[in-house]
Amino acid sequence: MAKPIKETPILRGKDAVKFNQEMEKSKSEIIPKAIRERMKSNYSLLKSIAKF
Amino acid sequence: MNIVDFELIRLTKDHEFKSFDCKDKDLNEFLLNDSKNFLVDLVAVTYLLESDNDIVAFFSLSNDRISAEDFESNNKWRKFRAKSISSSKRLKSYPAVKIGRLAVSHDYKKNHIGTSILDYIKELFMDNNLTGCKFITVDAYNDSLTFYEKNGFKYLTDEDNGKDTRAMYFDLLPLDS
Repeated sequence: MAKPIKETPILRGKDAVKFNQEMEKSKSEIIPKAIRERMKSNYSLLKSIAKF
Repeated sequence: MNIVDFELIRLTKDHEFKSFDCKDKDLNEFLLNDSKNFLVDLVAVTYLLESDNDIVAFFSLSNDRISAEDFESNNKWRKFRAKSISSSKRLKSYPAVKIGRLAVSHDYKKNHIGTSILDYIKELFMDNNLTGCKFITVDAYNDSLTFYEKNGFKYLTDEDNGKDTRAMYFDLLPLDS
């Protein structure tokens, strides 16, 4: 049997503060156009071969 | 190699596995021994990228959440820490989908298939977000940490630094702009 998939930890203290700060920053984050286009292209490719 | 020559299928209980070897014994074992049990137990669903002859890659998804203490400001955190109040009633949770395992066959490495799969998962929950999903989480193997970092994932905590896997997350919100 493979090693178990770990539970996502509950964030407390400094980890929680850092996470909340990162979440605030992400509200104004802009993903470069080239990366966004790559993501959409990869999504379309895999979606086109999905059998479900 | 052209990805359109493959098929992306959802694992079923009676699926007969084609050959797969990512050169990681644990990940190979997960696919061959555990993935169907996770499916039967409704714990995780595994998706296979297959060629005519073998499994190119696989990934397993399950529902998840990120729970964190909710502080409106650092000052509140300092006061909270000073008073050592129980935080159990102050947790805030956000819906997420978890990549339990993701692996690419050794024969198909260096083709950016892992990145393509991550892009697919991210966009899937933006394009067809049926129940609400704000984050992608992953229980990442140590030798894959750089890969996830390059794909925009961040560490949830430093407490698992040095362990065999680390908890990471990707915020989907910037994709909505």
